[in-house]
Amino acid sequence: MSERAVRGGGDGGEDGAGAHGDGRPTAENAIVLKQVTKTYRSGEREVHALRNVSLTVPEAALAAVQGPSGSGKTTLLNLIGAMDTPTEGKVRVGGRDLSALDDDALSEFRRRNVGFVFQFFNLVPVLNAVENVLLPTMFAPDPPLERAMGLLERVGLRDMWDRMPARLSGGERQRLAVARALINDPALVLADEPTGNLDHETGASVLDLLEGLTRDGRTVVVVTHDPEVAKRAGTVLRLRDGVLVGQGQ
Amino acid sequence: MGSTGPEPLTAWRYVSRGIARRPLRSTLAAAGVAVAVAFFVVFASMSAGLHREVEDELGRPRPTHVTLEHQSPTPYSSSDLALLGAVVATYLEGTGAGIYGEGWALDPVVELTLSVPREGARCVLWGILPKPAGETIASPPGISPTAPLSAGRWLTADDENATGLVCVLGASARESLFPGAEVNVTVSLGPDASADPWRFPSAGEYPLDAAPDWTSAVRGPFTATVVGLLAPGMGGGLDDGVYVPVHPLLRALGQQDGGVYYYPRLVVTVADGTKTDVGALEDELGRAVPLTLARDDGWDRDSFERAYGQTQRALDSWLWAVTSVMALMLVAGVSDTMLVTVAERRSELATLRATGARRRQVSRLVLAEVALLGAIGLVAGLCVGALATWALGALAGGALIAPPHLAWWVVAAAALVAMGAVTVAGYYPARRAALERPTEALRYE
Repeated sequence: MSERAVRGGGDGGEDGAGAHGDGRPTAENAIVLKQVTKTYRSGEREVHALRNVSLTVPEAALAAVQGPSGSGKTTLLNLIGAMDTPTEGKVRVGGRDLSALDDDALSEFRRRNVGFVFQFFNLVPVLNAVENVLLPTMFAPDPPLERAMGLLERVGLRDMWDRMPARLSGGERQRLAVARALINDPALVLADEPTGNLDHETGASVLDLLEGLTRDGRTVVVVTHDPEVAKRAGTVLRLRDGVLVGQGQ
Repeated sequence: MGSTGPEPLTAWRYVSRGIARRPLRSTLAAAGVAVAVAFFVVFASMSAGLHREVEDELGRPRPTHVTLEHQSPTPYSSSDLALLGAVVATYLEGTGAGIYGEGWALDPVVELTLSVPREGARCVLWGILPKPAGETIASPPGISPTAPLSAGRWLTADDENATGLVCVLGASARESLFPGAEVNVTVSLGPDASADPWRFPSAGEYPLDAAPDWTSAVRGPFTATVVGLLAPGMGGGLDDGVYVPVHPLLRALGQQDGGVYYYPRLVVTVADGTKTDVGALEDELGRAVPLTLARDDGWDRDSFERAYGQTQRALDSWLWAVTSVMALMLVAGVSDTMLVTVAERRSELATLRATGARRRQVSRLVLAEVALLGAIGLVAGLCVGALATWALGALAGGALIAPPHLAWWVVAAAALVAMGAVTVAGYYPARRAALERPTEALRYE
């Protein structure tokens, strides 16, 4: 494990801290999915969003998840991001088995270890830039204001700390969302179509930002249709109809 | 924020921004709370006012009445009354006690304002009770046995028991009613056959709480021998007065039987605040005349409580009805408002959950927002309610059974009801918000 290990601790177990490419754990893998199935019920019908997926993502890697709409990309992101639990199989992030955690433990895991970047930014319109960055720390006894300002500087928005989101451009909003994702210094950053709403140039700058996070030792998983992201990614996961059809470098 | 520099985001800041982002909706929700609170304050203050009035009434010290019922077929005579009056006067000297016969106050002066038949002429007939034990007499204000007389003498205790009625004339009364009248002249008091009957003012003009039916009781005219003439210049109504001893006057005015006035019932009142030994007084009275004693405080507590209890219950029923309806409307209104707010913020709440907020933290944010709205509405409602209560008391206090009273418990109950109602109102939206799945953050724009 790198120095940016998952907080809240690995829980050991036979899978250890990672897995081989075929699902067997290795010490270098930040994310390990082992025979994961996710099934939703829609009335009488069962929808298999993911079927028997096993995969690994190494630490400090930029991983791209690709696939057509409805292939299970978002479901995969939800499971990796501790926002949902699998119907079958195991999800381990940073050595921690998320499959057995209750809602509070999942929330705590997300707060301490996962940063999210959404396609539509999901900024709070009545909070200014620095307040949006501080949103995940709202309930903390001592909100890290200086760190938030430092992150705004890193994404090039320090001078705009008091701007409301409505007064920021699309690229600025997404950079602001990246700063928010980093406020708790997470080991894992998940991005859902982060460039989907941006022009090519702006998207590239956001991608540069995300790619730069891996140099801090963070693992970045990006769900994207953008082939540019796949080109830059160290790991590419391809899904079709809930099945992992390819994992490559 | 401007030039004040960045500040950390706290839950309260987030909540207050949440309220500010929908000013109209927030204002309407707070106004709903304020209206409900104001109505509650007004109704509860009316109830509190009545409570206070009743409590004051129940706690007020009251005169003790000792009712003397006659034992023989013959009612008490005026001489009995005089005797009992003497007992009371002796026993209760200076205690403010009084004795009543059929509601006639002899304490110790009876003032009867009479209209007389002569057009434009008017006099005041003063019935004066000479104290049997002394030489002095009880007097109306400004009149005393040493009052300057232009002729004759003042009334004495002997006049009380005299067969015939005597009088002292004030200067103006003499001039207007009995011009040229001198001492020892007989004058006629009361209506003559050719004139209208004496017309007495309404009871409210008497210094008596319960005046008998004077018009029917009066028989006249009757004659009185002038024994004295007051010197002129006594001023005010004194110059207009005709002064007679009270018991002969009562006998003359009231029912007569052989020149004696009879009272079927006598009431001795021991005035409020005295430390009279009523039992000892009863003994004294019992030694003076045959009597049956019945003591009461002249005030039926049960009847009072029944009468006011009905009003109080009616008012309290209204209070509860209004409170219940207002609370239900408040719960429905605020709950609906917050549900809309929660629905609008699904993405935001899901983002909070995605970034690590626990369910109960999200739930508390919604409850805090409702509580803040409720608190704003509560303060506004208390101000409006207090103002309305004051205005009600000032403008319509006379028409109410009791003036409204803004008691501390009204404020406490308003706060309790309002905050309780908004908490209930916020519960379901807060629960809905808490159950928002973090995965929804990825679905919404």
